[in-house]
Amino acid sequence: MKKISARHDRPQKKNIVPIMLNAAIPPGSLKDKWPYLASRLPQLPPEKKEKSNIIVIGGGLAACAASAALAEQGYNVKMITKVESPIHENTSYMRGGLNASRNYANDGDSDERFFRDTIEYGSRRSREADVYRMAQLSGRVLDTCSALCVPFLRDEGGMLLPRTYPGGNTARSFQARGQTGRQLLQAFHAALLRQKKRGKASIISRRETVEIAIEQGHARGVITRNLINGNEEAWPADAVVMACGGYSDIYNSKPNPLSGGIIPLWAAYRAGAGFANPCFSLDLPGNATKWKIVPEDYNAAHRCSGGLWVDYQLRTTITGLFAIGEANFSTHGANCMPGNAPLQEISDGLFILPAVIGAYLSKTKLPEIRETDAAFTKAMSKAKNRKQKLLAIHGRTSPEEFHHRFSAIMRDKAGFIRYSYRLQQAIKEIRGLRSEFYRDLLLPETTYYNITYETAEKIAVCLEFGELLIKDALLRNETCGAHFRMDYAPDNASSSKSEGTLVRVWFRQAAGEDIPIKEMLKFTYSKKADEHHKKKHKTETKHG
Amino acid sequence: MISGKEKEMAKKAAKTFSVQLRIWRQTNRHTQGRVVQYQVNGITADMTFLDMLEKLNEKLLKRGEIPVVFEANCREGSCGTCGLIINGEPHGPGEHSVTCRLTMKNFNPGDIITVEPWRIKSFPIVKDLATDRKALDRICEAGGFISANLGSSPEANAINVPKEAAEEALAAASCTGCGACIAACPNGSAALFVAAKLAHLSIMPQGEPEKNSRAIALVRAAEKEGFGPCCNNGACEKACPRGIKKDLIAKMHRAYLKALLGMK
Repeated sequence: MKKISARHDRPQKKNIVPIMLNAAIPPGSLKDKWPYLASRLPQLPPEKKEKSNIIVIGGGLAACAASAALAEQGYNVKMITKVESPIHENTSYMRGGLNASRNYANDGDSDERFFRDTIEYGSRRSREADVYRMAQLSGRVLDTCSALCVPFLRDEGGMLLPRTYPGGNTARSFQARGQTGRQLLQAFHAALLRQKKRGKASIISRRETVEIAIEQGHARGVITRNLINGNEEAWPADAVVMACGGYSDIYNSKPNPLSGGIIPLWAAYRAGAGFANPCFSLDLPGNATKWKIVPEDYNAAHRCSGGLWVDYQLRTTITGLFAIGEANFSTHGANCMPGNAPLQEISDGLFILPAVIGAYLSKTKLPEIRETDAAFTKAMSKAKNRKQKLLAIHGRTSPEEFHHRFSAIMRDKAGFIRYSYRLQQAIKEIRGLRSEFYRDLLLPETTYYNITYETAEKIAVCLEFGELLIKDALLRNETCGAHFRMDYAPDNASSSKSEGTLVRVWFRQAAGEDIPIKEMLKFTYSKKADEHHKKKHKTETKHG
Repeated sequence: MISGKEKEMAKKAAKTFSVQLRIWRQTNRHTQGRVVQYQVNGITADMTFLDMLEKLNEKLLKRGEIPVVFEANCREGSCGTCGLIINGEPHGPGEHSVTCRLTMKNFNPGDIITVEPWRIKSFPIVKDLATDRKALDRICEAGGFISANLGSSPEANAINVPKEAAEEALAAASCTGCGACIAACPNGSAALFVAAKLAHLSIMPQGEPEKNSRAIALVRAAEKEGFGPCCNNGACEKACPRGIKKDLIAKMHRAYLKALLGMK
């Protein structure tokens, strides 16, 4: 396999060339891959860790876990979040549970079974090696959470009492009475505060990350906009971690209308990071028809199934830029199994990231960098220009109105049910809305804590991202996850045209064009199981 | 028949009304604030209070005025971001209410509604209705954590936690850090917040070793941040969206005294 560096070697033609992106999966059987890599990754000496600066973008569970783990190992961590305190972040309203394959219910659970369930649940759209690693680490994640005082449900004997999800056969979901997200977030926030007290971590709050600064091909920091005074600020570092969550801003659905991490994600995409599978997942296995859901009723997106493309070591296509948690794409597939979301966030942040970031820094010689260097001044002027462009419009339509019109287009034409002609219509409408936005946006005359500008900034990105999402949907001639193409419905004769198992990764060209590249997913764990799965699926659809 | 009734109900729900708002406006923490009166029209009973404020903001924006800053995130009462004093009550009318879940059903046409931010010395106003609650994080930083290194913990079931203890800890740990208890307290005391933190971490066996040092650290940190002493009037319990019990405050005092005396 040839590793392509997406920034330098993008295909020039618009034809989709099936180049393989190198996922850098270590050799060996599935269960040996992570132990093999973890014991061979080069390590950074402690004294160098003390001198390394890392920026973590985001304030949720993944960001707190990563920042706490990195700071504990000696790195100097700056966590940049748009909220006032991480305890108010979006993880706090995750209800479900935390999955771990500990087999505490003695119902035959194991890493292997957990792994298979996740792969099948995700309609085989997630990367096998990554999922297996998550299953392997799940036990240690649970142990850590328990040690950090997360009050999970217990039985009369004082032992942990896992629950089974509807549709599942094994009890592996550890819950805290509908507030698992809050409890996990609080635990890792507290762990981070412990590091803050030690002076190893700092929380830079109320900042929106608007640009990634790249110096000689390496991500060397970020530009943020201070939400309070409106000023752009430069934050140099040795590595940048995207832990900003997903892009659920796209649909104006509760909870979290416009509170996702779409702005930092888009900043990374603009800077050259590949964006994989821009779509959403259902919280149901298989696809919606299997569960007899009336598609009209189901317009809420459960979780972002895509995100920044990362290889096995959580590296995006920009050197020095890592993506963890919901910000990356690798473990959930078309459907996210309930309880896997917080697990991935913690396992990425706690165990995988510290190992791979150490390896990166030990192999890379980075020159000193200052806020006044070209990378920052360039990125800063880009950010300022974008802001000035919006502020100089002086139109008559409020950002909220644009938001409603945008989300109406997304929900009607690019929601759960999709027709290719409607998708094409949606692209046209979004382009129309975008030109109107830059002609007629109304903003108040204030610079200090301008919440209206915040909305406008989000809409500007949503108008770009929405188009990418639809472009991706148009290429997917299939029904899978929260993507119900009526012209490719499973009970339709053309369902055999299903795309198969691939990840579509988008890259933005300098001219502003979006180019897709495929990463074909390989499944090795059991061919027999595959065939059985296929057969079962076929008979089911026949009867259905 | 039924459809007729439904139609009538829908009509009733669609009936719009207007209210008068008296809102605290303050440009930033260094300037003097003032109450400004606005009228909001076209309100329906099923609108949330925050939807209504957004409607006001649309109106202000169109008139060339600066919209009212208020903060909210999940809009379902879980995240703890929002928090307004409405007609003198933190999170609005009713016990255990949350601002973002408050609907306009609670108000009548023509009502004059007073909207203020949390009025606490230790929560400086950022702008209008938004306050800075980082003082709560600073209290936790003083010792509101378990000093366990990450990733090297014993197996989860090696630590036995009695069911009652886990339930009690969860009830205390459901605090969202919204600050309503402090806003409700005539003394501006953070006792319920600190007590909930202490209870969560000290009830569980994992937090037992640091029980004493934590009690002293957190109580002193709250004092240092300028929060007042507890006056035991119970307003905090009623204001808490999670219904955290004020009994925990007594337990906190006990733990603090025991820690000072060096008792186990």
